[in-house]
Amino acid sequence: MRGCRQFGSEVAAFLDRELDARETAAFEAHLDDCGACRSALEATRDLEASLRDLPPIEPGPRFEAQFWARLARAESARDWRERLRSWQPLQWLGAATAVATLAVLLSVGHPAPSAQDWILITGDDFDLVLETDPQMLASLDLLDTWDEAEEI
Amino acid sequence: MRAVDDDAELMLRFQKGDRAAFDQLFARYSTPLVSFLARMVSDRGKAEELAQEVFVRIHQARSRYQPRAKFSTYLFGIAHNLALNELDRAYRKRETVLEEHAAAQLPSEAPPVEAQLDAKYTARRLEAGLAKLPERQRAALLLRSREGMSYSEIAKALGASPSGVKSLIHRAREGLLEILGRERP
Repeated sequence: MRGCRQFGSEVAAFLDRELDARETAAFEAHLDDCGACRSALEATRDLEASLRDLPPIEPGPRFEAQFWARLARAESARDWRERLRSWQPLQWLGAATAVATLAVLLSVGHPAPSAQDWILITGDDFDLVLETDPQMLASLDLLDTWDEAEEI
Repeated sequence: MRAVDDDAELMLRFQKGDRAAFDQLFARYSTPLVSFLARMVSDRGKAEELAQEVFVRIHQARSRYQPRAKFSTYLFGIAHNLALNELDRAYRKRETVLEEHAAAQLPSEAPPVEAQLDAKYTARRLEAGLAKLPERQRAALLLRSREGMSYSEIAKALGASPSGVKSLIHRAREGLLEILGRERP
């Protein structure tokens, strides 16, 4: 469309009544002097009428039946997901696997901690241990991952 | 909770267990949804599948529904996202490039005079022209021209700003007129 540089981009919004009162007044005043905008407005108006006149695209005769079938499949899938999520043996198996993995990781290259060790790695010292022991950090990440998986 | 419009009121009734309210929404929006999606993906069969999927999502999300905007804004927002996903999937899988397919059906530039007066011919040219527009421009124009949505409603549905929608619609109309090769369709 050959346009007016100043107001060309306002034609659509004017036609759609999306300009505020001040903008509308300015555009209307401009229309009196600008043939390009008058022409663009007329062309856009005709285009809009043609777009509105396009026939609707009706769904086919099986559309509704197919929807109910699709919904039934989706509901069934959701039921299964919820059942699996709440199935106690699966939860226990997951937790046992996580604990066993953690135990293996901790035991490789780590002597069993003494009571004193446990005291040492509490409180502020705990962050220090994490910073200096990547294996410990990896083990705790595994636990975090398990917690997130449980939430999902 | 106070409903924003009649359709949102129906959705709230459905949320409380009124299945007839959902049936009304389904009957009211099946054709507008299929029309919008068919023009977005240029494939009627796929459009029906996507429209069914929109209703499935609405059905399954009823407990979480909150009428923050008009129901049609919520509905077409879901439809738009599904259409974009479908176009993206089709593009990535190098399936038929739908716009090119539709463009190939565009009639030649010099139609017979009597054909120019034919409403069907105009409609075909318009449909082909729409299919050639960039996706977001096409969506914004369809929601404005076919569904009568305001710029702020379209902005919510498309996840854009109202000024962005103003620009999308302006460029869509300008582009469509250019594609059609004349100022008066």
